[in-house]
Amino acid sequence: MQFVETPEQALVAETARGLFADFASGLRATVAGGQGYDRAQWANAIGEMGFGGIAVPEALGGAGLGPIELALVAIEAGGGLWPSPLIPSIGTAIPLLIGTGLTDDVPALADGTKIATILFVTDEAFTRRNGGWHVTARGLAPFADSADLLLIVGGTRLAVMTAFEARPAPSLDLTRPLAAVTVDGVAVAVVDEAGPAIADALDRARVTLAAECLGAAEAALARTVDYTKQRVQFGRPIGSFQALKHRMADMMIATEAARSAVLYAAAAAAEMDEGFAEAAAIAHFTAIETLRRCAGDMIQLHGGIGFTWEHDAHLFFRRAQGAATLLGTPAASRARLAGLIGLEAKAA
Amino acid sequence: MRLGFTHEQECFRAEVVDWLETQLSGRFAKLRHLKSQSAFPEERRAWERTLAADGWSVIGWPKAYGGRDASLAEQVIFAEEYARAGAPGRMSHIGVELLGPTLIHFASDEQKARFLPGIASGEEYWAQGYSEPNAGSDLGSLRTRATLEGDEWVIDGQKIWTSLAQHADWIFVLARTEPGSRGSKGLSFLLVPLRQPGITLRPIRQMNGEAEFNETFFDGARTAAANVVGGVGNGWAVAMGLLMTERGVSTLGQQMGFIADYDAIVAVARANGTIDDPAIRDRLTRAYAGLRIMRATALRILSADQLPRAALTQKVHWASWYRDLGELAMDVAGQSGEVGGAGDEPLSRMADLFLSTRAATIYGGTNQIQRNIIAERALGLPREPKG
Repeated sequence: MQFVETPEQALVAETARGLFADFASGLRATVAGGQGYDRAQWANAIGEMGFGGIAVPEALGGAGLGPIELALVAIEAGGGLWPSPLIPSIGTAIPLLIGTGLTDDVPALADGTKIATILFVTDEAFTRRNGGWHVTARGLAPFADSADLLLIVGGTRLAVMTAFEARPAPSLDLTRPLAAVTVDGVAVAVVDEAGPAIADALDRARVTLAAECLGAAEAALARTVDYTKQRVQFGRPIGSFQALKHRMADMMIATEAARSAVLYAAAAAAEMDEGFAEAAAIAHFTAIETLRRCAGDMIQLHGGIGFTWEHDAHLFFRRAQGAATLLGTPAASRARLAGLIGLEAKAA
Repeated sequence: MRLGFTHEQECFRAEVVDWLETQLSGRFAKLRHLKSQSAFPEERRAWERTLAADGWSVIGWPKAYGGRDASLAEQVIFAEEYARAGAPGRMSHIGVELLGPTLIHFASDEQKARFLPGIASGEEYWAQGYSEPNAGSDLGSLRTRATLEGDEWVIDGQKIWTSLAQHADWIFVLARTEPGSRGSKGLSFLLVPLRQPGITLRPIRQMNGEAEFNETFFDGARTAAANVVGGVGNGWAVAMGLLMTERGVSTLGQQMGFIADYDAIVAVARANGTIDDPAIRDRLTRAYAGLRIMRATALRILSADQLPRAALTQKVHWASWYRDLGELAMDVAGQSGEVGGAGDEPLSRMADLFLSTRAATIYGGTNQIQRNIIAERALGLPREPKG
C-alpha cells in the first residue's frame, strides 16, 4: 500500500504538463478554426510522445504502462482543455477493442494514425443478416466527422464500422464537438454476448474522462486564484475578501476530493481490484460535478469578464456539460453505484 | 502507486484481527461497540495496559520509545481492524496521537525518558489545554499565565474544551510566560500534573446531553521548572508542530466509525422503507461515495513524503460530510426517530447523530477558520488583516 505516484509516474505527469501547456496557446485558434482539433498536435502527443499507447500492451504497439499513467496524462490534457479525440479514441475505443478482443486496429489508434469514436445504442440496433451483422442506428458522437472507425456500443454487443455518415453539428462543447451519425450497413467486426467486457471497458473509459475533468477543474481553480490576486477593487485584490476566499477554498476541497477519487479508481483499474466498478462510478460522477462547479465558480468570480466570449471560462463550463453526457450521466453513475452497494429499490 | 497489501502485511492483519477477537470476546467484551467515550473508565484503563503489554499501544512510534516502528501499511491495517472489531475509543488517544509525537520531536532526552513510557504503557493519561473562553479560533490571544517561582512554574488562568480531563493525570498547557507579550510570542508549552489543589475541573454539558468536555481552572497550579517543552518562549512552535503531527492514521479509525453510522442509517432505511424513496437512496449513495473518497484522501496524505496541500482540505471535507449525515439520519428515521432509544436512552441513535454531528464543523478548527487556512496556505491568497 503506497498511494502516491512513483518517480516514473511523476515524470510522465511532468512531461505531459509541459506538452499540454505548450499546446494551450493554440486553444482559441483551434476552436475558431472549426476543425475540432489540431492534426499536428495530435500527431505529436499521441504518436511522437507515445501518449496514445501509454496504457496499451507492448504486443499491440504500446508502452505497456497502465490506467494510472493514462489518467495522469488525461489530467494534464484536461488542464490545457486540449481539444482532441483523446477520450473517445484513446480513452474509450482502445479499452473497448482490447476488452472484446477486436484488436486489429489498436496499433493504429494507439499511434494516432487512425481515430475512432463511439455511438451508444441498444442491442436492437444489431441484426443478423446473411451470416453477418447489420447495424442500423443514428445519434451523436464526438469527432465522428474526423473518425476512421465508429464503434457501435450496445449493452452486450459491439460493432466496428468503417462506412458511416457523419455531419458536424454546432456543439455546446466547443472543445469536443459532436457530429450527427447515421449508420446503416454491415459491420467490419462484431462481438456478441460481451456485456461484462463492455461494462468494464466503459468503466475504464469513465475513469480517464474523470481524470480529464479533474485536470480541467484544477485549471479553472488555478486561473481563478491568479485572477483574484491581480484584480483590485475597493483598493485591495478581490482575492483578499473572505467571500471569495472561502468560495475558492470550497473549490479546492472539491478538486482534492475528485483527485482522490480519480487516482483511487485508476489504481484500482491497474490492480484489477474487485472494487473497481464502484470506484469508477464514484470517480465519474464526482469529477464531472467538480468540473461543473469549478467552471461555474470561475465565471462568477471573474465577474463580467467571465461572461465574455473572449475569456476561456465558458470553454470550461461547456466542457463540463459535454463531459456529463459523453459516457453516461453523473446521475446514471450514482444509480449504478447504488446497485453495486446494495441500495437498489425493491422490485415492485 | 499501489493500493493492495503484500502477503506479509496480510499476515500482520491476521495477527491483529486474531488478537482483537480474543480480547474483545473475552475479558473486554463489555467494551465492544461502546459508543460512550467516558463509560467504564477502570475497564478502559485495563484495556490500555493490555494493549501495551502485547505491544499494540503505540505501534507507529520508534522502537526506542516502546513502539514497533510500524510501516504506514501496518498502521493503516491496525487502525482499520481496530475500529472494525468494535474496540473502544482510546482513553490514551491524546497522549498517543498528539503529545507523544510532539515529545519525540521537541522534548529533551530527560523529558522523553520521564513521559513517553507512561503513555506507551497505559499508566499515564493526558488532556490538552489550549483553548480558553476568549481564545478559541484566535488561539494567540490566550491569557493563562505561568510564572517561574524558584524551581516551579506557577500557573493561573482558565482553559476550556479539555476533553477526557476527568480521566487524565496530566495536562499539557500553552501558557503566557513572558508578561506583556502578545499573540504567538512569549508562550511556553508546559507539562502539568492535573491532580493537584491548584486545578479545578467543571464538566460542560453539551447540546446532546453528554459531558465529554470540561472547563479547567488554574489557580496557583504548579509544575517543575524542567517541565517546559522546546524551551521557554517557544510554545507556539511546539503547539503548531503538534497540530501538524496529526497525519491521518487516526482519521482512518474515525472513518470506520463513520461507516458504522452509515450502516446504521441504511439499516433504518431498510426497516422503514425509506430506502425505496429515490431521493433518500441518492443521498445514501452520495454518503457512501464520500466515505470512499475520505479514505482515499487519508491514504494519499499518509503515503506522501511531505504533508501535501490536500491535507489542509481534509477537515472541512469530513466535518461537512458528517454533519450532512446527521441530517440524513433524521430524514430517514422520521418522527419515530424523535423519541428515545432502546432502554432508557434519551435519544435514538439517529437523533444522537443529528445533534452530535453539529460539533464536527466547530472543534479542531471551525469550517470558517479552515477555509481561511486553505485559501491562504494552499492557494496563496492574501492574508486576513490581524487586529
